[in-house]
Amino acid sequence: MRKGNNVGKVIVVTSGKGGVGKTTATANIGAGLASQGHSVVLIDTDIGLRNLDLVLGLENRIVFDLVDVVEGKCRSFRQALIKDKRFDNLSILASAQSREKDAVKPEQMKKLCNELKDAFDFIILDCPAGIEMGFKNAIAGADEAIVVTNPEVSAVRDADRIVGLLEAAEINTIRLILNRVKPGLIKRGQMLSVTDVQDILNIELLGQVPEDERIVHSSNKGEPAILDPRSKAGMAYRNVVARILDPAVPIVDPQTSIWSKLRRVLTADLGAQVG
Amino acid sequence: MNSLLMKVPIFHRLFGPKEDSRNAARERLKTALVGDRKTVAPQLMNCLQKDIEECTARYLRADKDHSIYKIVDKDGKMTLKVEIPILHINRQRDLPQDALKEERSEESIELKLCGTKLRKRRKRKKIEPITE
Repeated sequence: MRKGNNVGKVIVVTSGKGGVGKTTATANIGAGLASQGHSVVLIDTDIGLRNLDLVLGLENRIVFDLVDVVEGKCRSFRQALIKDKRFDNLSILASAQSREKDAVKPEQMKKLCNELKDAFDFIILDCPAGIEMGFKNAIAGADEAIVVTNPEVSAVRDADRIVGLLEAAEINTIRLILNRVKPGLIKRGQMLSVTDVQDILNIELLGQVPEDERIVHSSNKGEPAILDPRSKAGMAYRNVVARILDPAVPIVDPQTSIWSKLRRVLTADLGAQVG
Repeated sequence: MNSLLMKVPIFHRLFGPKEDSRNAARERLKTALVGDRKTVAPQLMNCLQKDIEECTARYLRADKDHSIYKIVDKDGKMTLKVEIPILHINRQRDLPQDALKEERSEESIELKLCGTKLRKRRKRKKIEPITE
């Protein structure tokens, strides 16, 4: 099942503030890594507010959830994993909908992450908003973190707090995804630019994702935008995935000119772009 | 007539006053984060104080019990305020030898300062994990 020989990597996707695009980022990165042949498991750690399954269109297949796994209600984690419709090597572990946030303990998460490391190349945790129990659970077993934020004052401030907490938890690889970037607004001096945010937070930039109406469209259908060749955000996420696999890949700047749009429509070829 | 035209969005966008909120956002965030990091990381002030004490000890004897180290808001800018009562200042012969050497050639000091300014990026101090 695994592609690499080394043990898998556990990456937590977190933000502090809610609604910045953590779940979308998790779904897209997961689908992107799977499309490159890696075995990936996505874990929704937001207990009580299950969402990742819906974004990936897998909401009808849930039998067991995260709490069942840690409480030993199913034989092994394999029984609770839901296989993706598009990729055989992508599966998700849904969160419990009817339980409280403290149903899982950080040590249990750590143990689960360690078990999963032997079976998958990438374990990606979708962290809940906030800095309480859910956050502590999600980061407990993580090797690396991806902080998602928007170019807004409140989101950046919360991201800074999260970076501080991740450092305190000795997670040393922390990279930034700046989501919902509006190049037009930045040009007119009405939005924090990518460099502004990077300068303020002082962490490595993994990628920048432009605001894209097609994201709504793709989550409506339960299909990750990364598989939509016409989506600007999808293109940005393909770049993010390439950079996760090889940090030497340069960051692409989201282009919004009519010509670049036209070129994208005319030359859209998913296979070529992913590779 | 002019104001009437400005009510049309496209005219307003093209000829209206330029609204720049990006700089305001940047400056306000930077200030807020100084406050956040200070309160979130109490060890930061202790470490800073220790470092400054070590440094000043090479030049003078300070009254540590009556020293003040504070980050204060000064005209909307977060400012590090340090007040160190001096008990005794070292003589010329007690100054660190390598610091004296550099003083001889002003040019090299200038270059050195530029270098440190470029290299010195903010390093986060370790902070306590939140405990409820």
